[in-house]
Amino acid sequence: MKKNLLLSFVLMLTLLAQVAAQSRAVSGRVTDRQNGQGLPGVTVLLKGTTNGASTNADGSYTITVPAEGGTLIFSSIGYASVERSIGTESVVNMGLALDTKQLGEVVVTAFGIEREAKTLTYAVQQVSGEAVTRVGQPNVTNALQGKVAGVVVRQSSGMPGASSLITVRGSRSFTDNNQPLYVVDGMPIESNPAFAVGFLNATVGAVSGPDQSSRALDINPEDIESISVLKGGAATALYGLRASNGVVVITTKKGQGQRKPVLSYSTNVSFDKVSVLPDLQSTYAQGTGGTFSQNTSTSWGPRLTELDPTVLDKGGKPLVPGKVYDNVEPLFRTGHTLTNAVDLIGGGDYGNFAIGLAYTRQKGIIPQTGLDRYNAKVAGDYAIGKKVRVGASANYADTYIDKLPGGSNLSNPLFTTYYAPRSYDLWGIPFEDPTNPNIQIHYRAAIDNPRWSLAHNRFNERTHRVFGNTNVSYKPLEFLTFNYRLGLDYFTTEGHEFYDLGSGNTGGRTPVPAGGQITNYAFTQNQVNSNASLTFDKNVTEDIGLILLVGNEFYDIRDRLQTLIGNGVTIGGLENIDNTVTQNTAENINRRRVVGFYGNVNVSWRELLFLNGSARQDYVSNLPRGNRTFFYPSIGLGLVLTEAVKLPDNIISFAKLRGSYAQVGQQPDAPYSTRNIYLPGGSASGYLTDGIVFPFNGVAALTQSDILRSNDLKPQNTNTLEFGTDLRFLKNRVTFDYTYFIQKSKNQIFQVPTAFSTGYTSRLTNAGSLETKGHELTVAVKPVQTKTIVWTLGGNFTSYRNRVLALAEGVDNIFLGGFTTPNVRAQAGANYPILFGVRYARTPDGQIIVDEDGYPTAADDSGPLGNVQPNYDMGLSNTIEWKGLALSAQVDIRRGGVAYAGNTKLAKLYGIDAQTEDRESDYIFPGVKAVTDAGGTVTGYVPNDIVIQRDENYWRNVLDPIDESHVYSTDFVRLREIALSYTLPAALVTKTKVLQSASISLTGRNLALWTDYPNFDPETNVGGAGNGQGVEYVSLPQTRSYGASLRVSF
Amino acid sequence: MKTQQFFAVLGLAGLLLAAPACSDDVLDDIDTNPNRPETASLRLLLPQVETDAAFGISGTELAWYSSVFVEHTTGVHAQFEQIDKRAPGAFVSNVTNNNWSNIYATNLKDVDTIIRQGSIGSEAGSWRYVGIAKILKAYVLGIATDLFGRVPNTNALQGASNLKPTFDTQESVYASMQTLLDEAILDLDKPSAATPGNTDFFFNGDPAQWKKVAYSLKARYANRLSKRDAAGSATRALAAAAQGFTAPTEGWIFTRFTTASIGENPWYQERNDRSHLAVSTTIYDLFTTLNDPRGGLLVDTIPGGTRVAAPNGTALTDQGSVLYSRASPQLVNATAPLPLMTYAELKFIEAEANLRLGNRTAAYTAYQAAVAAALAQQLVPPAAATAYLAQVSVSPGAAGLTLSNIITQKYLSFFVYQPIEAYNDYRRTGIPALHNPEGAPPRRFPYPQNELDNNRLNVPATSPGSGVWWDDGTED
Repeated sequence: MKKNLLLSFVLMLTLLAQVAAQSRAVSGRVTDRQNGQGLPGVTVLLKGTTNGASTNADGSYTITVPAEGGTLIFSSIGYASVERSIGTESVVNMGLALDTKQLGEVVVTAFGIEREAKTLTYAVQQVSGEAVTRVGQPNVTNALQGKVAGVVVRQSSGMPGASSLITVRGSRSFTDNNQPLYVVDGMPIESNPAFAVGFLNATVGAVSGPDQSSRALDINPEDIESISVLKGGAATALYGLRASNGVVVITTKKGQGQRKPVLSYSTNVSFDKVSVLPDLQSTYAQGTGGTFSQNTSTSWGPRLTELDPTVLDKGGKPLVPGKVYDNVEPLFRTGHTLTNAVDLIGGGDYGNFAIGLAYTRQKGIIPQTGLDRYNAKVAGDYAIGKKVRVGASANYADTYIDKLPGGSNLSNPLFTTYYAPRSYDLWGIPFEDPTNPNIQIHYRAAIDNPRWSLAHNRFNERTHRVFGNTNVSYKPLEFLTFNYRLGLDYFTTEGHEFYDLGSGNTGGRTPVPAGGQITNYAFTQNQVNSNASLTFDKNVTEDIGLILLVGNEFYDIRDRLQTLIGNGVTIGGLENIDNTVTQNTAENINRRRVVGFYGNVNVSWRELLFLNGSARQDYVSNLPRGNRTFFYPSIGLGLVLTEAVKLPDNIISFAKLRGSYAQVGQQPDAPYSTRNIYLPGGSASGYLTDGIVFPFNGVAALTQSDILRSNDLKPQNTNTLEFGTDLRFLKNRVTFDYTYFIQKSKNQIFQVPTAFSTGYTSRLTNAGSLETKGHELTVAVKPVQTKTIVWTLGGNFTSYRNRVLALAEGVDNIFLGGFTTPNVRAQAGANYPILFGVRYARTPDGQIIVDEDGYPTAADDSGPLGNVQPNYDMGLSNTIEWKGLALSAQVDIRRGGVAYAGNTKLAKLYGIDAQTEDRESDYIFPGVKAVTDAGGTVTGYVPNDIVIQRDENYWRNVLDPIDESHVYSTDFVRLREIALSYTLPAALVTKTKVLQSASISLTGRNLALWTDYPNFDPETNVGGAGNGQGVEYVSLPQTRSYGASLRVSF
Repeated sequence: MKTQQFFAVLGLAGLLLAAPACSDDVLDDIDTNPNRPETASLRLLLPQVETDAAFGISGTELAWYSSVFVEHTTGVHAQFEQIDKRAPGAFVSNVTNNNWSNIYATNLKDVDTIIRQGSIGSEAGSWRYVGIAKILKAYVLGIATDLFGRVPNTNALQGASNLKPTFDTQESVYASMQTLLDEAILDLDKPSAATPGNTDFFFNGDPAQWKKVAYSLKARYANRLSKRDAAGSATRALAAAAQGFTAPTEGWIFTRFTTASIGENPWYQERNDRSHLAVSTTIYDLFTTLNDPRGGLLVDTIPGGTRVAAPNGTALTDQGSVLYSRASPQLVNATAPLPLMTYAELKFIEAEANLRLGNRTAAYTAYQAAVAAALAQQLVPPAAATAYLAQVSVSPGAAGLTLSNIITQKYLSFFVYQPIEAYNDYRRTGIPALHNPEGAPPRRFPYPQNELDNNRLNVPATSPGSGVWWDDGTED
């Protein structure tokens, strides 16, 4: 690299020396013709040469040209290029006009290929880097929420490093991964969580344990120039199998077009607070049946005012009648997020380079949670001669997360905190025995005292990651380019989970503290991507342009998970795994390889009709021989109406219709699905904890796995049919982009239950199909656009329905996550996924039937409780710019889905929820009661008039088992982001002579939430980023943040 | 470099790079599971099927349910209390899912693999293994059919080739079991390419002992058909018994449980993890009436020092073992042996068969040997055993010997580890008299929910009161 630089430098000097002899300097200023403002970054090129300059922040430039003659070409994206012969002038000013005929937008598509938006025949949406970093969200996936039509992001919780589930156009697979492929600078990288929640006791759809973050967390948002989301099959077909769920193409900052290196610094600090706290009753004390008891978990005791002051509490102090303790608030503190990023970007004739460094630090709202991330990046692009360009980029990320177990885990501090009785002084009574800190003092028997859990248990994870690529591009002829890119993504995640001696989750809360468990795991993944392609780009005739692309892609992913679990902590507080009585180890290695050949042809006719076709053939390792290659094509057509037909220019500036059909294959997530395996032997019973495990009597044994794998597996296939239109009105003041799509995924690979007498409990097979139909709409309006004020309104609307058309023959549903009841499942003929559980018994017209005591009854059989998927998701943005000030806000709206509110269910069961405040007054349950005749048959129903009290029996025994009573709508309206920023005007900036630009802003995330969902933020999910969405159960809460940021560049 | 040359080289390079990378061989290799083997040798499969036959199949739920039904024990907690009190919905199809899975998907599948691999497969000629496996297959099929009636056999265990196995008649399953045992006897005589050694937990591969097991099982299964063919069953039973166990020191008993938490006797694990079962008044009263020393030796005291048995059907909940006695630590401990078939049982069969044929003297000799062997096996001290045997109620003489004596003593000898056999005998003979006021026990186990969900058309329609074929002659 150094040698080339030196060479170029010397070359440049020589050139300059030559030129200086017979040249002149031409300078001037390039402005926007409409508002007279200087335009930075405009390329001023001496025609016929590579001699060029770039305008400064105020639009001024200087270029050295021959003493006489010459033509300058002024070009900039979004503006019509102008050629100007310059004769002998030395000052040439130029005004550029917005190019309304061109879309002007260059969109990044597959493999980093930039295309003009108007030539595309499928839906793509871009998000600028600035929009992603506006409010300092450290996780790039979360920053996409509400900004792209068709994309839905669900954060599992507000904890630092929490995983997020991102889907593009819904789901395509019942049980496998449904998240899109992330591509950074042309190379795919790993972005999913390495394993699901509770993986160490791994079962599908686990509901407890610390969350695993997605690897997209390692990307530094400050480094992003723009993100392009490729949505349907046609857009992603070139990427092959991994891209069947869509592709998020991330382009990082590079120094193209700039001359002087620019040093930028940005800092963002925000303060986080818990966003929603539960509504609790404040009338009744701890106890059951109206009687006070020290040791019950519930609050069905006497009134607080009726407590007996002679009784001592668990800490030895007398009870205080009437005192209401706040046990929830003290758990939370104000967290903060601090990001500092520096980058140095430069470019010139020789090429460009970019160096970036960033440090993000987050302290969570609950103690013992936090995130520390270091990012470093070096990238460069160099021209060697006229025909060859080489580039490389290297990224390093080091992420450390401190976390807590969520969900149904006895050491989850929220398990007690939310439900602690109002008469119990959780924060005043000591939490551990002063003589032995491993003996807890707590009113609950098997569950940890939250303060003890925070003081003693530890859960953390560290990831070191390196990813990058090198590329070579060779352009032997004007119309022919050969490109080769080689990328590497290597990371190691090391985790440590420590349940101290005496912790509830390990059964240790015995009189002599026992239990304890230490788990250390290391997950290493190495991914190599190689991509070679040849592009032919030429106008074959005056009217017909042809772009032909052929290439080969190869990727190989290897990973290894090693876990070490030590049971029985010997010395409390010592986190070394030697400090355990028994240790078990496990190792799991996965490998997979895919080799693909692809081709793409783009034909354009007179810049108004575009035909796009692609084809790809893949060979994959994890399907059986004979079934492991698949071929999938796509075809698309686009018509630019405004070029074909004369339409009033000032009303419709651009109109395009597009349609495409594509097939994309999908391989099974799990490698090794094709051949049966043997597992270590043993014998067990559902009633016994241990059973027999081999090695036994010093002898090893194997037993064949109960899952029948198949040599017949075929690849899954997703067909997408898509139609859309791109309309721009009133000189691009109003833009409207709509897409309708139908997507069908067939031959899903999943485990189908079998009759045990076949010798297997389930088998892997192709069966089942999932269909999605949806709408995506993106609208942008500029009601005011003058020299001083610009007001932009934008909206992204996403609506789709995932429906299970069929599962395997004889299979009615597949369990995706949740509990025995309720659970989330894929049900044949129903929307995907669906919440399933115990329902109210209802009359045919939907009224709830109450029994002769006046209590609602349950239906005989379990059934669907509602759709988890919403009817639609909408993100509305509003930006007002005035002189240097800009105010932008994003509001997200979600309507139509439901979730099982596990937190609220428990709160009602324990008698702590605000709904249980009134236990004594008369109440009539809204429903109907049966009218029976003499024989006992039901003849009809009349409105219920039986008076009951909503007491302990009502909540605990009647309503609690009815899952439907705990299902609530997750509709919300949320102020997701708001930012007020001030950018120093260009005039002031040039005056300082040092600064290139400067801006400060005030930011807010998740500041306001309007929802009917009780007690908690409806955007929490216990299943993390898995497919089992829709169950919320003692998950960690979301946060609200206020902050400020400063950006300067020199 | 000329452009054409460049491209030629490039193209070639591309092909060279790509071709080996995506050849089927390379991809197959990458898809070979590095974590788990795809084949297992017979040496590694045999310990698994033996241990599972003793633990999972003979020592867990199927045995515990049978124990409560035949009133060896009383269920005093949770599901076992519910079935003891005949609660509706307590003993239905989802209760037997795990055991059915254990029988077919875990045990019989591996047993079939041993038989195939050792006869014609990768380790062909390993007849010792094949013989042992056939004995185990007959045994496990026996348990399945005795409890459930018609069960899949001829087209079971075929994976994807037959996803809906049919249920064979019990008569044919019994014939199949006898054939397997006959074949096993022949196989054990053949020279074997490989022999188990220490991976055979029962006999270290000794073919003579295994042949005795096979003959003893043949006797048991022959005798089982007493209601279907009184004389024939007895004759065949005696013929087989003649070549079965020859001394009280012989028997088919699993003695390899360890003190590690993942190696203990299943009844011991049940006691520590759940403690559902207390000693029943039915058996305890029998011990008392007969002045049986086993009443004191095999039944533990409760806190306070007394022995209190739990009445079936009316006992109080007692998970904590404060109200009712459990089996004693002498009988149930971490390393206690678990008998699958004993010399004592063989002698009882001999006694019963002879009695059926009218050979009273032979019957009585066998009976006396049986009771003596049972007492020795249950660790009754010789003096107490002699005293016990001296009683007329126990030793009525050849003329006074009744079926009730035989089956009652057999019932006592089965305490606590062989309740399935006791339950079979009860259904076959009606002995001993049971006292649960909530009603008679079911005469069969319900087919599992899994078969109803996935193979419904082949599952026979049965009801808990209808007997299996050897019980009431009907193939439900």
